[in-house]
Amino acid sequence: MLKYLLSLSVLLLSVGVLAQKADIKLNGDEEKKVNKGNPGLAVGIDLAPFITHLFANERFGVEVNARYTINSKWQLAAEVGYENVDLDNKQMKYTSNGSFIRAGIDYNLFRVEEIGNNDNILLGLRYGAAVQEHSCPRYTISEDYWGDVSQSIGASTVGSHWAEFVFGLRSEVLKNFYMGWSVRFRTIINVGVNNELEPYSIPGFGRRDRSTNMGFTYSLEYHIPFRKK
Amino acid sequence: MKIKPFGHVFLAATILLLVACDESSLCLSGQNAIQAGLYSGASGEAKDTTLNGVYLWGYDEINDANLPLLIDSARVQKMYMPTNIERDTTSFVFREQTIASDIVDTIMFVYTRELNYVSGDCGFTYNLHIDTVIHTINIIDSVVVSYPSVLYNENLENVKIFIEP
Repeated sequence: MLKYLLSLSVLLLSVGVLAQKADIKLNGDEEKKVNKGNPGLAVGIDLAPFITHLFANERFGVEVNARYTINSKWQLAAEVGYENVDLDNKQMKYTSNGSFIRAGIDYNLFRVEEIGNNDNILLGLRYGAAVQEHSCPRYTISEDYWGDVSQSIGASTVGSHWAEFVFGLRSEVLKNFYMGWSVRFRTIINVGVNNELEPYSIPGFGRRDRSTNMGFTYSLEYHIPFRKK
Repeated sequence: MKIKPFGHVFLAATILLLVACDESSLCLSGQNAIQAGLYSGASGEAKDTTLNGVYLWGYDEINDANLPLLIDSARVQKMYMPTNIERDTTSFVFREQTIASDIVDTIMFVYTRELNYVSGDCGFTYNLHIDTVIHTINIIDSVVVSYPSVLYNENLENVKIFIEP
């Protein structure tokens, strides 16, 4: 709980610092241009799974994303990816391979009346779904008096659904090249009831032993503009 | 106003650290033990009793073998009786020091097991549901199952063992 509160504090602080409005008067044409934003399609890669791998080396994933900027306020976003898990500890050996998709919408809070400033402070929502095949080749239950018990659970396929609340920053670091990060508050909607094996980690959601999770993305995107400025 | 790249990276790194900072889960042990309270069988009402010099050990019915002592001549009011999670029954031998050494009682717990996933760090446990308790009646008067579920992270008395007055 503490980390959620700390993250929330950092986010609120960043909104306070970054969402300040510049007091510049624009003429009619300039205001129209600013309101249009930078419509287009951006495609990118998320570097967070590689960073996550450093902290949790049993998990490895790849994620790419696409973002359609409608106008200065609204963006549609979709993310697809793959995750492989190979966990081997005293309690269990667990393997999983699965794919996921997340789709949703972002609202840009950043209001700067400056032509050519395409930075974003985003609040958004996502719906996520994942399918994975997983198995538990060994689990060991410790029982000091009667003796430990080791068993296995065969492979099965499970589907999961979740919702995400997104907060992120995105800025144009070079012409049409964006760097952005987001923090995600995820909550499980449903995990397929198939058998006795619960997923250790759900692709795109994270650890399953909590019904809410925090996630992070750090993406590099190339933006293909649809209109000339 | 442009979002400063340095601020961007600093905020991202801070939040990444917070997100990556995983709460370590505390794994509990001995979660498959049936908790038994000792009661006096003298009155009709359940009343706690304490016995001196209690011995308790497990009995392996299949191999007809006694296991090491769980309770060795102790003064007890409650007993934690670990179950054999590889089987659906577990037996114990119960003896009280003040009574002739060849007089013992055997208690057999019959239960169903359900695999329970705790977490990646803690692995699995079994949740048990006590169906029946079969026992001899030398020292023990009767056994009542008061709470049949033996669940992870739950600390409740499962059976009441009434001792002969």
